[in-house]
Amino acid sequence: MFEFRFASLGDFLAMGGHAGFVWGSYLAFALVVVWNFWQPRMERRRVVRLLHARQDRQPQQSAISVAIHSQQGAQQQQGEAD
Amino acid sequence: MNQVRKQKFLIVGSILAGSIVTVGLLLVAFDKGLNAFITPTEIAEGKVNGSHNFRIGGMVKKGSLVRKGTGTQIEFIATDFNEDIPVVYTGVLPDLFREGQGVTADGHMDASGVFQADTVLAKHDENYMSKEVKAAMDAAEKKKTGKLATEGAHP
Amino acid sequence: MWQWLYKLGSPRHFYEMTTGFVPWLTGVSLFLLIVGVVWGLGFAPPDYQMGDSYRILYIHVPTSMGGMGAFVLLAMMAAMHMIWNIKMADIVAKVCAPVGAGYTALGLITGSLWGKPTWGTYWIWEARLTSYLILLFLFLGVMALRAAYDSERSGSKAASVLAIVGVVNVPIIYYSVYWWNTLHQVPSELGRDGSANPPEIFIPALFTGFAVIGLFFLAVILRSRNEILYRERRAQWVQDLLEKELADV
Repeated sequence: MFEFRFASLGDFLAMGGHAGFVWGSYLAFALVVVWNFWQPRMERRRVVRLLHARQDRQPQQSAISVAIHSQQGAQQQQGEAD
Repeated sequence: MNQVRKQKFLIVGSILAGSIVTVGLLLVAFDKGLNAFITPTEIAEGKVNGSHNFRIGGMVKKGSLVRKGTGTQIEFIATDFNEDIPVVYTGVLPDLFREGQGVTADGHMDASGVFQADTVLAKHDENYMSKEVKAAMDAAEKKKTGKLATEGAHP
Repeated sequence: MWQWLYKLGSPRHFYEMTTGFVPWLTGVSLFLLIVGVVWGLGFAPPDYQMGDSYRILYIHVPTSMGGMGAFVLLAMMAAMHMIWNIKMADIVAKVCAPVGAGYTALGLITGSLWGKPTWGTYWIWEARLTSYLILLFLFLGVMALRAAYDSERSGSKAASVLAIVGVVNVPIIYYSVYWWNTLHQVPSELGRDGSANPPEIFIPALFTGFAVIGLFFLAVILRSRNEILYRERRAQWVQDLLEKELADV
């Protein structure tokens, strides 16, 4: 049951003449798998930077202006996100 | 459940029920129109009239495949084990096209009741088997009956 | 059990509970994936009819089913959010859509690449393939609706309605091969005598199958965590987290 089914590396790469179809499928799959790891990583970096930037601004203002400011900020970010 | 939840539950339920009914009615209305192909029995029952293009589907009858000329012109019989339709086709065949296997063909019926195909597609069944097992099964079959079993997972 | 589920409904608890779970799930999924892919590509025997092109099915079947499963999850989360107003359900519904759309696109691409050598065509307008293409459009529609509104609440409501309406398509995809004549085959029966799908061919599919499911939930969890951080940005626990763990991301 556990024997390699191809005589040579060349045979393996040729996939019985269906190389393009088989490797193309696995390549597409690999791209989606990588994207599913990469997207959250980049998104996390973006969100954390955004939140740090907001945090730095806040202490200098009074409570009321913070509330107003953060509301406007949220709308702006919403607009940017869209 | 309080009143608001109950109401929202009803809204979600009715959206779902509404779409099920709508789609269900559409599917019933389309009925056979959603079939990818017509079977030889349906042709025999006169479901197709005129000489317009349509797609037939069935099995390539065992022993019916004939290659003509240089081998690109073929004739075979498509069967659903009830009615048979002779099919003529010239061109490249898919790898899986063989006797005893499912097949579909696009084309039209000519005056003599022969289906003139423009495209032939092979249908794969849901059976998978390794080459070794298949060879072993064929060998056993040959021993028993004295002749090689033709292709197909179900002898 | 219920308390555990109830806790998952709170964004904060979801975030905290998944923190330790993520590396574990990543490891297990990648392990299953590597075993399944190596086994399926190199060690499973060639099929007696399709030869080596059937190896595509080791990723076609799980990703296609994953796309359908993702839509069911999306619709369930949408319904839960509409009825009980659970914040976490809306977050999962939002992040489910792009991940599910990716799997659905993969199902179509790999199916097409399998269809060409097997059937003789990349595409045919039959019930299974067409209903599956509609699934991709439903995912894209749900994403577009959510993005089209300025307010998060309105976008989420509109997307939820489409998800609940669209989920009707999932049983249609599944039963299409039984209800109508299709070029696509019906699913294999497993464990039948004189098996339609013998163990030496089927077992690698178990590995890729569980790997694909694991990777799906991993992607959903990772995306959810980012969404939680953003939506809960005013909460004290996120502020604390920013100062400590996330200080230098």
